[in-house]
Amino acid sequence: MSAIYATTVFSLRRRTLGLRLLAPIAVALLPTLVLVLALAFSSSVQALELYRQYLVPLTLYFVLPFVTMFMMLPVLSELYDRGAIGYIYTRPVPRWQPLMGMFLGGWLGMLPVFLIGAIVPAVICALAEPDVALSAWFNLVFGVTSVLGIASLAYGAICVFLGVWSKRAIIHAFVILVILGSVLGSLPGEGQQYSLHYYLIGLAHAWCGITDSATDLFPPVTEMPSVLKSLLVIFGTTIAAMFMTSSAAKSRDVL
Amino acid sequence: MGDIAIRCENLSRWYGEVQGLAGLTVTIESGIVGLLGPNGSGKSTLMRLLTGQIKANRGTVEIYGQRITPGTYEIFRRIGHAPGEDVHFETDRAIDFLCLMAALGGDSPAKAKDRSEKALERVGMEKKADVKLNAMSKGMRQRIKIAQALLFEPDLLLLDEPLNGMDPVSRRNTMDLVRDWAGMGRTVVMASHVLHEVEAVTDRMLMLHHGRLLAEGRLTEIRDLIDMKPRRASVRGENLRGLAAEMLAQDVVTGLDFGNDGVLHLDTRDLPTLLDRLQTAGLAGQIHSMEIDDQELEMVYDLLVGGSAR
Repeated sequence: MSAIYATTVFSLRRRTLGLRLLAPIAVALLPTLVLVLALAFSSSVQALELYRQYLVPLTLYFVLPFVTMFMMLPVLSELYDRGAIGYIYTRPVPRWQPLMGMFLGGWLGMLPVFLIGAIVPAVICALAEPDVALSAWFNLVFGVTSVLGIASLAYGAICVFLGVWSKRAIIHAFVILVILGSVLGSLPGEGQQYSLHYYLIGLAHAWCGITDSATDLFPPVTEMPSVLKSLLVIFGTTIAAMFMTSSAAKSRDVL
Repeated sequence: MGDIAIRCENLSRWYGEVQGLAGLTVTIESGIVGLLGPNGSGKSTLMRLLTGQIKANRGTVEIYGQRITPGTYEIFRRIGHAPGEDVHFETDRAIDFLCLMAALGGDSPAKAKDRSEKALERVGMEKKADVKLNAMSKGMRQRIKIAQALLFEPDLLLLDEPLNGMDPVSRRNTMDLVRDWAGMGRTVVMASHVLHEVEAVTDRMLMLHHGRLLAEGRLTEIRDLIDMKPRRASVRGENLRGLAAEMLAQDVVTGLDFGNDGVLHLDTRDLPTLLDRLQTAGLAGQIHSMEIDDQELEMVYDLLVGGSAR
């Protein structure tokens, strides 16, 4: 297990070192920019509802896929591109261990980004609407960060797999995370059940109290997936993607 | 004859239409073996096949009797591999990189640190433990690569172009290390495209050309044929004008010139003596890095394939 721990630390350090977090944090703060503009140009804004029905969907549909791609795609593809993966694959440990460590390190690196993206607008909203109890904000921030953290497990694992499996990982990741994720998940109809985002809605509904969306980003889901079903799908996807990563690592040449 | 470390049977690998290695059958026993060949001859492909980094299209590789395929891992307790690629962990300090490599071998953090410090000491880099890899010269990074290969005291050491970019003193120390390693009954395979580098540590060689085994055996038989051919050494360092004057005064070089990039090119018909003199200058800290032309190897190819090698 020391191999998993060592590569987790390595990957976390690599993903968060220097200015590497700057771009993901900038993406995570885009909803905050929208919030500031809304507050500046509207006199009758209900901050709690704005956060819940507008910023949370924006975060799930826009921030989540792009931050995940920024942070997770390079986790392994960078090592492959530079030939550095050869050092790791010629160690006396099964390949899945360093792969798991790399994935966990990248995922842990994403959590503070999501936390910043959830806390900053909440603080601004709380200042704009001081009547709302602090616990309500705390619950909301905790709920959003939890949904993002769990969702990024699955999407992160998919990105790690694509980084190993494909030399055009960024294109494939865009298709899976944005088109099959955000877009398909936001379209009404049967198709949305094939999007991971559909199950994020289930979690957001239960944990953040989101019922409707001012952005129309949340589709009119008639039947919300349960928390258990959502968690099973998300964790199942994570495990499947990591199995595929391990398998791809054995079949892809280190050149 | 020692233990069989490596056995390749009809080993082939293509990269699309390009043949990387073609039907290589070879057995390597303990001691030092030079793997010679120009760029594109199949040396690195063989190294990658030996370490399970790529799949063979045909044939098998066995190391100490265990078949190697991508995903094989337990045997790497017995194999140390310094790849030809640079150490691409630039933002890490040398000690961090080595600790990661040791931890990937199952060491606890404390044991990994201890093992890494010993490995750094072995390559004479103990004072550079806290230096980031991107702040090191290529020669220093080469020594770090070798240090990571030595971490687990491997029975088989695979070194791909280990002397590239090293200064004369580091070259000598690395060659001593290679000899010492093999002297303990272990196996070292040293790939190079420079004949004299291999010759300095061993007389046994495998010569690859266009992915095929061109020759196998002792170097001495062809040595005499090429000894007095003109050669060129290119050095970087301090006070190169002084060094040039010194070499001319000692009558070691037949000609010299300064390249646009501040490199001093020295032509000689007596490479061993020139290298000896440069080593002395290197010990005085005057030389930072040195490259030797690979004409020697081309000459060998000419001799072996009748001038059609290139």
